Amino acid sequence: MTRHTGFYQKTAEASAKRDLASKLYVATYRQSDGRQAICPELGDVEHFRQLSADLRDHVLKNLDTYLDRLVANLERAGTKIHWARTAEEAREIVRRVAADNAVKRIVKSKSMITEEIDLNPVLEADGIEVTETDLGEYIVQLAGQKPGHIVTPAVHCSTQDVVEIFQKKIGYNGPADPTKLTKAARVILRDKFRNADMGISGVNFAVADPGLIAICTNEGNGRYVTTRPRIYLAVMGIERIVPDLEAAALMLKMLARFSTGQRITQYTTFTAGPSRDGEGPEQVHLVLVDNGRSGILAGKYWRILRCIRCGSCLNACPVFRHIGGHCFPGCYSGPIGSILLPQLLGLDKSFDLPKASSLCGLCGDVCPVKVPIPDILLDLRHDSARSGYGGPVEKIGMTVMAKAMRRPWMYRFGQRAMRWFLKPMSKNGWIRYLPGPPGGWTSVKDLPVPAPRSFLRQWQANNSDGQTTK
Amino acid sequence: MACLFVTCLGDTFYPGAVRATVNVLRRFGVEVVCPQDQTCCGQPMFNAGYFEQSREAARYFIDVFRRTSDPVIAPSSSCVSMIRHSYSKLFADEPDYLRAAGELADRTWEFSEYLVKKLNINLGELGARFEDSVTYHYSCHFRPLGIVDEPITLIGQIAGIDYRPIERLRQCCGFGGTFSLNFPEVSEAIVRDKVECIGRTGANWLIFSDAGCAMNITGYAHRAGRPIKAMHLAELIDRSLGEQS
Repeated sequence: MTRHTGFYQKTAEASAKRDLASKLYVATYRQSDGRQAICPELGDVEHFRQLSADLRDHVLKNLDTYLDRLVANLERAGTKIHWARTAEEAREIVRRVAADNAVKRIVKSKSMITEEIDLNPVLEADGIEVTETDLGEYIVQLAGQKPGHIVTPAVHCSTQDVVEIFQKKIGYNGPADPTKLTKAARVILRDKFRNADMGISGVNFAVADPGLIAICTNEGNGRYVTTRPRIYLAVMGIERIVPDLEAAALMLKMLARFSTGQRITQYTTFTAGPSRDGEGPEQVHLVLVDNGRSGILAGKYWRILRCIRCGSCLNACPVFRHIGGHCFPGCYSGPIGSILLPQLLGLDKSFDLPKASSLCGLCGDVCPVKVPIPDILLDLRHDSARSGYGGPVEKIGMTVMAKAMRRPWMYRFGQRAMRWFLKPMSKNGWIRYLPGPPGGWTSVKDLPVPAPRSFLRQWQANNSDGQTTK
Repeated sequence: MACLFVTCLGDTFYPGAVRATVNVLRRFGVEVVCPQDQTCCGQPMFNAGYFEQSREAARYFIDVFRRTSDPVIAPSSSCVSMIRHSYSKLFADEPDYLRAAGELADRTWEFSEYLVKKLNINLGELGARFEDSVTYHYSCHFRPLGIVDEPITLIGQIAGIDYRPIERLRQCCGFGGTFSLNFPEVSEAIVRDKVECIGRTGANWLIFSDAGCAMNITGYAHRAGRPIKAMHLAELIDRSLGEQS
């Protein structure tokens, strides 16, 4: 049998939940249909994808230079820079900033990097109240869950689910109406904003020249997080830089279109440093997190770092549409999660992820920065095969198959043996049960019996010279 | 003259589809030869990550087909995609085979692609007729080949046919080779969607272009107790052109 990690079991359970699939279906198609509707406005979409990929590559190849410029420019504007090699260092930095400033309440804007470094639990353990203010992220936080999607964290929740969560957690007693639910959340969140000492966000892009931290949101909560509390702290992966504003314009154009099918997000907020006129934060901190990125950059999978977390590959993926994000052993899910998590966790703990793909190729086709996802999925499968993670049965099967494929007599013998073996087990031309690895197939589908005579045998019988037909 | 690439699944499970491919090509004046010693292109091992094993099969495949310089035609998009796109990855470090693979890739065609892009066939002018309702399953591997609506164009040229477009045409059926063995439950959920979409068209026939997709879709439909009648596009065209050849 093929070996599996715990991921497999979770995918099997998730794909049995038809209600999950129908929620994911609506949400992912809404976003991918939006992308398909709006991208043609760009004209030559392929040209823009190539420009964006080239831009990302340029930044990645000159990352040290751009990081230096970014840091120098932000420091000049008064932003305090912190470097974190690991997730743990990043968490400690944030804890220290909070402790030094006697922070009691934090409001957050949705951020994948703070999920990656698992920030909230350590802050809460220090007795700090942490509130997620992105509506989707707030729902997920109330439910005690992890985000189910890189861009739309509550993708797995229906309106009715939200009603139940709100009833239980914030005493909501209104109807199942998204507007009413949003208003209920807004009342509570306004209060959280007013009383917060510190705001935390991720970073969509940092602009090296002039030094700017950019975040893109649709609800405006993100801008509130960066401006209302007396301290604003942003956390970013070191690769999320663009050289200048022109490059930022390109990335913003691509991010919104490929992510949610918008021309631009409702709010794009730029921060250079602390307030100079008393309105806005007294302190601005930026935590630059490596957490394995320089290792990825030095390795053969560096193109993964092109990713701008738009979620387009999740929305396009037929597998994601049935399993959602919670099966994944980390905060990143879908096709990008399947290639990124093995880098962050080690392939020995995640070799199942790259196999959970039908290789339909859509993830690669819809990526705004041309991360070659299908290609990397294959390379990771290869790494996994070489390390023996597939188990001995799979390896022997593949080796025997390869031997047979370069010996026509063996190929034909195998084909006929298959029919001799399968025919007695079949009924009306279909097989309902098979032992061993092919049993995966017959556990859910019937298998047709091989034809009585293969095409090549028919051809041979009809054409002794092997040149003509009939 | 054309050289037939039978494909292992076509050879084993759908000989009628391969026969129809030959018939259709011959109707259009293409003489077909078929190397008797061909086996498989190596895709199953390649997609499972067993590149070394795949390379063995691929080397043999190239040796068989480099004996001719005729166009190679296959009734499967995924096998053609393997030759056209994956061989260059497999043989990146073997200059001789890399060159041979490139040469082979340039003359390898998927069946409907050859009809539309090379032969410029118009079935309407040839009196093709088929009096029944059909829907069509688009194979994912058409995308890397740059084939978008060619098969549907061909179907549309057949007189009398009632073509029922399927929702979410470009959606995968969930086959994916070893994926369907390793993640059967996920594969089942995906193909269930596909079968429901097919059902909603109300068409009597499912027309397909890849044996893998066909086994997956009809195999699930049969298990679910709502069998689907399916035939390869080549079989549809062969039938629609009537008894001749």
